[in-house]
Amino acid sequence: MDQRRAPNPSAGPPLQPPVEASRESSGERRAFHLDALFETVSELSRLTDPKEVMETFVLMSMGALGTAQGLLVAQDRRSGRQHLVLRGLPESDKERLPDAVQSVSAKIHNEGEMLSRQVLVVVINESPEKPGLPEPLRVVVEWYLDEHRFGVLGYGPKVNGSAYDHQDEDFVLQLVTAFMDALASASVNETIRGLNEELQARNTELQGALLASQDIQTRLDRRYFHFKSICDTTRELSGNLHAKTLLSSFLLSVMGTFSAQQGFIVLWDRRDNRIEIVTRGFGDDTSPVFDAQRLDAVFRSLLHPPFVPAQGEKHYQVLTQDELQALELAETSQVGAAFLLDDNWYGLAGIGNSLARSEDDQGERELLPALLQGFLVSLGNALAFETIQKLNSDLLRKNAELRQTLDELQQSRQTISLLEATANRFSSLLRSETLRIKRVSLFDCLALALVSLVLALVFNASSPGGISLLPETWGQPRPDYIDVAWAKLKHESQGALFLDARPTEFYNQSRIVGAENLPLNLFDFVYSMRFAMLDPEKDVVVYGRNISRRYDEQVAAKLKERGMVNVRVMEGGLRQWQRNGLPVEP
Amino acid sequence: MLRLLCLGVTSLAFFLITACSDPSHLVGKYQSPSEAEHFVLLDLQPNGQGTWETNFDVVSFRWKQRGGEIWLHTRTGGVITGDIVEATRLKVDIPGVGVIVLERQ
Repeated sequence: MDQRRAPNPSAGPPLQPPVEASRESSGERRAFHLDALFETVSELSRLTDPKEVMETFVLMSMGALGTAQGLLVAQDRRSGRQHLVLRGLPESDKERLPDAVQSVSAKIHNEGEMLSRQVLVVVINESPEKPGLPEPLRVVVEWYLDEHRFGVLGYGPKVNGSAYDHQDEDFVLQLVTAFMDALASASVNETIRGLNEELQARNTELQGALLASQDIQTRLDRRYFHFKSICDTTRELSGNLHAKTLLSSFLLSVMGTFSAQQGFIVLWDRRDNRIEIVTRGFGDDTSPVFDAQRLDAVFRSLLHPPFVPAQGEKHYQVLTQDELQALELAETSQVGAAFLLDDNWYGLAGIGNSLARSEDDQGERELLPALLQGFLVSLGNALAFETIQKLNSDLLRKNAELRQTLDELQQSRQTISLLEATANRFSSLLRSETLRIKRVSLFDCLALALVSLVLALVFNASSPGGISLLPETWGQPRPDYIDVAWAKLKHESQGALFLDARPTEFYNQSRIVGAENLPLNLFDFVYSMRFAMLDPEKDVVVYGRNISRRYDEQVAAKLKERGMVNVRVMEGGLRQWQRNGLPVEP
Repeated sequence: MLRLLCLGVTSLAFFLITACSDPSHLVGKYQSPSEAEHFVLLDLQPNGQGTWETNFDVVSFRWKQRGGEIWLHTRTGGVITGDIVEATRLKVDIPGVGVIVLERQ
């Protein structure tokens, strides 16, 4: 330590105590100073806070010097911090002290002149000349702990009124030295404490960062798991082109992803009213049952904006707990979703009894929509594939039918060709025959007419219904006739039997009221069965003829042959009867 | 011309031959039941001739079988048809008279 004692020209004459008393008193004071110095060092060595060191040092040094006024100003030029201890001095001096410290020594303006552990007694036993320092001070000491930290120490007059001597000056120097040692030690301790606190803060931050990193790692692991699940599910579904196995595979993947113990998925073809349902983990009596009526009710409640298929973007909807409750699916499902592919294909899925599920996890909420998107793409492909297969089978069937039709057409074409050839042959034959006919002679015509006549006579003679070559009535006497007016009187008086000689078909169409039918062609049979027992004297009126046949005359002749004597033929027949407005039936 | 005529005659003969069935199993006498309103005795002879005899008259005719029917051709060109029931019974429908049932004797 470099200690320098400054000369004090204003100190007055040197102290000259009596020799003996002076020696005794000097020894006691030295012992007192040593004890005080020891106590001060002991007390300061226990302190670790620089401020406490300064506070304690000022008080202990004031006691040791026997003064009631003390001042300590410490300043760190590097950090700009300043600490002030003021004892027995007015508080108003605090404001001027920092400037006063700056003016005490010019060394602080030149860093190279500041030496470590330097103590300088500036004033002793007189008032300080520096402006800003309190007037009552009688001792002013500059101290320099190192290149940055320095300060001013000041004491007022002693309480007993005596002046400070050389022993006091040495004692002050020793005290300041001990103070600087303690201050350096406390500063080191403070630095270490600060470092410790900073280290603890850093440790705390590090632990927080570690926890945050662990949380991020956990989230990252879950994200990785979700991503891997989506990738695995998508890869597994992408190669499946059968809707039924696709539903089963997707349900199994979703249950595995959410660690669910039970689940179901339903696919409803609304147009064909076909329902495909896959369930896992349910008992026989707990499995959810879906029919077209229930599915229609479910989707009617869900088909409102924004779950509108026409928008084309959102073809699925993750169902909330309230919606599951409303659809009576809350007992079997914790997570549910409804989806649709187009206007005909609707679907519903749900899983329950999840072992590990966090509703607050954003990633988990986004997982089901991501899985559904991949599933809907695969399901669309599968349904399109089934449609294509069906169209292909229809096309194959139609191709087979077309091929068969072509074969038949080819066969028909061959047949037509044969028929055309035959027709051509007939045509040429007919043409040749026509040409030949045009050349026919009169003899050919006569021969043809003769052959036709012979054939007709043979046929007429052989036929049971053949007609006679000459009218039978030619060889018979003319029958008796009766006119319509006279016949009318007979009819009205029911004095005669009216017989219709026409065939039964004509008789059934129209006849005189009350007339009986005796057709000429069945005369023998009908007469023998119905009229053989008639009175031979009975008046009989016969009618019925046409242009070529005179049934009435022949019937009348046959009746006369059988003994009927009063048989007459009505002139004009039924036509004249009708012209006269007489009754006919039916 | 002659060839066409021969073809026509052959076709007509074939048609006439195939149109008629063998009537030999119908030959015999048939009589109306005793409770019937009209007494009729029908005699179908093998040569295609036959007689229809009642209490007042006897009518001759020619008969043929056409499938399940028997046709009675009258001399005045009419035809009376009757159903053949198990070759033992005939149901003859005479217009204006009705159905006459005849049983083989």
